[in-house]
Parts: sequence; C-alpha cells; structure tokens
Amino acid sequence: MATIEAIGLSKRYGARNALDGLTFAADAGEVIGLLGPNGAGKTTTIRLLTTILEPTGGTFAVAGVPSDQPHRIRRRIGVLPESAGYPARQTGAEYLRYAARLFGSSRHDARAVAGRLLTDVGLGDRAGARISTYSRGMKQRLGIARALVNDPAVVFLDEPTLGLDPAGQREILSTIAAIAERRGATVVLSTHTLTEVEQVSGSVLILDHGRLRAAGPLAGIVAGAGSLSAAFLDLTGESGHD
Amino acid sequence: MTRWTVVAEQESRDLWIGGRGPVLVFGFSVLLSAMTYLAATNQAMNFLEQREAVNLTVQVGLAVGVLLTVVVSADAISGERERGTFEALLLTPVSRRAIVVGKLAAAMTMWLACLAVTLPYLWVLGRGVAGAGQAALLALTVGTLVAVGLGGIGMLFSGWTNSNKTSLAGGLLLLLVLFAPTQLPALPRTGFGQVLTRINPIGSALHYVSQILVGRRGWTNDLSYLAAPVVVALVVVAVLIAAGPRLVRLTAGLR
Amino acid sequence: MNLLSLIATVVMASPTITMNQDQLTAQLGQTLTVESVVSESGPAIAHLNVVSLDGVYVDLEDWTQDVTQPVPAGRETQLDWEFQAVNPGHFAVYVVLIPRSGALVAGPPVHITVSPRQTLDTGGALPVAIAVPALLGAAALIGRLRRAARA
Repeated sequence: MATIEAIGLSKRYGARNALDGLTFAADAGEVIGLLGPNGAGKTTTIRLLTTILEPTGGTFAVAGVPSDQPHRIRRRIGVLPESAGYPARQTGAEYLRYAARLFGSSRHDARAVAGRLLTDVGLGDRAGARISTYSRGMKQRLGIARALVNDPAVVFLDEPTLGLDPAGQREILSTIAAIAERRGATVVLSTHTLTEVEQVSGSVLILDHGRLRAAGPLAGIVAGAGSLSAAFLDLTGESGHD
Repeated sequence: MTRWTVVAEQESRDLWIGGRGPVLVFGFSVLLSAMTYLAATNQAMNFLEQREAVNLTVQVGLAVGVLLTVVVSADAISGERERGTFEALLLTPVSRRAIVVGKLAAAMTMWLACLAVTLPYLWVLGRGVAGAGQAALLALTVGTLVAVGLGGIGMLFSGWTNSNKTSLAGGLLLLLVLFAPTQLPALPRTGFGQVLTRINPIGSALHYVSQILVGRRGWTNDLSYLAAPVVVALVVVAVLIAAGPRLVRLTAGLR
Repeated sequence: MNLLSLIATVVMASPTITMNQDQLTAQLGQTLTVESVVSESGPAIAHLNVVSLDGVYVDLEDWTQDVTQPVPAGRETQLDWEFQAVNPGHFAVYVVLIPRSGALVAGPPVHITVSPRQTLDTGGALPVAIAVPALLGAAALIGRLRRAARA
C-alpha cells in the first residue's frame, strides 16, 4: 500500500517554478532516495509533503491522509528538517519530552519515549546535557530521535549526514535502515551524497530544476547508465558527490 | 493539558530557566530600587505625598514591565525563525493558533514577574495610607490589559518579519510613540490632548491609575479611560487568533 | 439679564473679589481648595497667583495647572481654585481679575503656612531597595552556575 502519493505537485514563487508537476508514490517500509543538485526542489518537495508549504498545484496524500488535512498528516509523519536549529539551553531529554508532549503524550509517556529514543540513537548517557554541548553528529541523531517521537508512518530526512565525518555518516545510515526495517516506516532521504542512497535506498527520485528526471527502483536506474553517478550526471548535467 | 498550555509551559521554561527572564527582571528591580530610594531620601522629591510616590512606582512598573513583555513577545516567532528552531514546532500537530496563544501566554509571565517584583516597593512606599493594596490591584488589572494588548502587537510584528531586530525595533518604536505623549505636561487639559490620551492605551491607562491613586476617585468614575486598553487587548488577541495560521509560517510572507 | 442691565453692570460698578477664607495651614504635599467670588464684573479672566513671604522661589506650575479661569459678565461668579502645597514656608495666594478693558483688580490674599514633613520612610525603603535586587540577582546567578556545572 502506498504511504506517499503525489500527483502533479507544483510550487511556484512568482515566476519561478520551485517544483513542477511531481508525481510519484512510495510504499511502506521503503527507503526512497531524493536526489538532485542544489536548487533542484528536494527541500521544497519535503516541505510540501510535510505541510510546511502549501502547493500551488497538484494533490498528495501521506500515510493515507489527504493534503487538505495538514494537522492529521503531521500526526503521522516525522521530519528531520534541513539545517535544523536546536534550542541550545534545553537538554536532549527535555527537547524530546517537549516534542512528545506536542504530539499529545502525557508527561509520564513523554518521559518514557524520550529516554527510549535517546538510548536508541546512542545519546542515553548525554540525555541530561544541554544541546549546546552536543557535537554536530549528536545533534543530527537527536533530530532523528525527535522525528521518531510519534512513531511515524513516514519519516522525511533532509540532508541528515551533512557535515558529519565518515563514522558519523555510517551511524546515521544504519539508524535510517533500522527505521525502515524495524518500524516498517517509509523513509524519504534527501541527500547530495549518491553513495548513501546506494547503501540504504531501494528506489530513487532524481529532480533537477524542479522537474522529476527519473523515478523508480535503484537497480533499474543504475542499469541503464552503469552507475548511479553516471545516471545522475546524464539526467542533471552535473557531477554527483560521493 | 491542552496543546497551547504545553507550548506556554515550555516557552516559559525557556524564558525563566536558562533564558534571559531572570536577568531582565533583575535589571527591572535595580531600576525600581533606585527610584524608590531616591523618592524616599531625596529632599527635593520628598514633597511627594505617599500616594504620589505609590502612583509613580505603579507607572514606572507598568511602563517598564510592558516594555519587557514586548521585548519577549517580539522575539517569539522571528527569533525562532532566526535560530532555525521554528520548523520543528510547525511540524507538530499543534494548531497555529495554539502556538500563538501559548507564546503570548509565556510572554505574559514576564509581565506577571515584573508585577510581583513591584509589590514590595509599593508596600514600602504606601505603608499606612492603604494605597499599596489598591495600587497592586490596579497594576494587576490595568497593567495586564496593557501588557496583553502591546505584547500581542509585539507578537504580530514578530510574525510579520523574519528578522528579530526588525520586530524588536518595531515593538520598541511603538512603545516609544505611545509613551512619549504621557510625558507632555497639561496634555489631558486640552480637547485634542484629551482625545490623544484616551485613544492611547498607555496614556489612558496611566491617567486612570493616577485618578484613582492620587485623585482618590472611585474605580468607576473614570472607567471610560480604560476603553483604549480594553479595545486594544481584545482586538489584538482576536487578530492573533484569526490570523494565527497566516502569521505562524516558516518564513514571513511565503505560503 | 437684559442688555441694558448688562451694560449698566459693566459701566457703573467696579468689580470686587472676595475669598472664602484668609488663613490656612497645610502640610507639605497637601492639596488645598480655596473659593473666590467675583462680583459686578464684565467678561474677564481670573488668574491665581502664589507668592512666598519668605523670599523662596515659587514655580506656579508646580502648585497648580489651573491658573486661569474665564469669568462671564454677571453679578456674582464663584471660582474654585485647587492647588498643592509643594514648598514649606509662608505664602500668600490671591486672585487677580483681568477685565477686557480697564485696570487689574486684585483680591485679598489667603495666607498659607505650609509645615514641612518627611512623607516617606527612608529607613524602611533602603532594606527593600537592597534586598529585592540582591535576591533576584543571586537567584539568576545561582541558576546560571548550576546549569554551567551540569553542562
């Protein structure tokens, strides 16, 4: 069953098309890589599907909830936004407890969820430390924990490994794989790094200048060009980062 | 617990535990201390009747307390945009209106803290004239009305702009414009001056307080002077609730 | 009052001012009211004045904001004057009538003795003025130190 369905999704800012007629579907438990050069429309796509922005055209449904019920969609999704900021003075545990309470958990449940998620992402021993003392990788893991606080059906991760060292990237990627496998959630992974997509994604969407250039199983896209990097270059006229 | 109270609770924690709330209130108390000590010891100022000293304290407490409330509320949305923490809040199922109401409620804790700090000064200046209790009640009712109205305007500025500096400057400029006429002597005596006083939520509130504390008039005698603070508070809260979904966006102006 | 009697009032009679009292005592800061009656006057302006009998400078604006009042033509006009005694010492308060034409008319002075007083309790204010900021400053500082230690 499709957990994401977008039909003709568009977003215009004045004369500029940030996204133009995106149509795709994703299934439960699938990790879908969202690829594209800078300005391709990846973040716009995520912000539309997570109801942060309103589309200028098209329709979509996430976790079976149509786009005209944004508050219901937000109940079923978890998001790690691009370059997310964190309240420096809060502790990791406080940050997650607050997020859980915003999703309707009681104080007791919020405390339990925060403790479990912090342990899951390897921050159990730093739960009481202020976020300002966290490294970038720790903040990203905290952000992923926050995205899981409501046990979402669909998780959107926008550049989750940006600025991390190879060890940090590996940790995040294994966390992403675990989300899809253990929780059965659909994961939309937006990234510049093609090797990350090759490691964890079963299918990809390649965007360029707001238009969908390719969509489908990773194997099918790679097969035509020989490698994902070559396919990306052919479709966007740019070299992929790896 | 409803969602706006969850927002209000966390925003209040952020303001008072590790935030700038304690430092702002400390500065406020230093100001009131200096004023109280001068009023009590300076011979030139000592012609003041006790009720006038109490009135002066209420007026300063109200003006500065509202100023600090505006400083907090003007940061509420634009500050989160600047710090990059707003998107995470918008991604929760909490309604935009609940976010606005929760943030305004948290900003109001700054006013309530200023009011609480003002009480001992009112007590020490008003001992024996039964004016301190009345002054405290006046500050609570009239000051809260003004703080809700102007704090709400600060939040509107915050929603309309992406820059914290812009919203803060807008809020402070508005306060200055409203406060300046209250310092003009004899303004309420003229017809035009009286209109200016009555439509100005700060000017009319301060006038109402003076009439009761110094003029010893009844609470109902000059009630019409409260029209501006009441109308501003009601209209601003209504606008915030009605326009909440358009104000509380990731970026001001974009949809 | 018909026109003829009005003209007669203006032309024939000379205006007089009487005060409802000639002596007052007050404490510093006290608000006082005196009443004056202007008789047999044409349209004029009445002006309140305060002079110190001890040679102290008097700033009239500090004493009252209502220093002038219009006087309509008529047999008797009562005018109330409210002012606050803002300096200690001996003072005379009097009313001057400024007619549209003719000489000024001054009323009798009301002698006021203002006794000084310390209205506010210096001893009581100082502990509060020190204790409140000290407590709040200490609370803010302790909070910051505890969080810094925890981080």
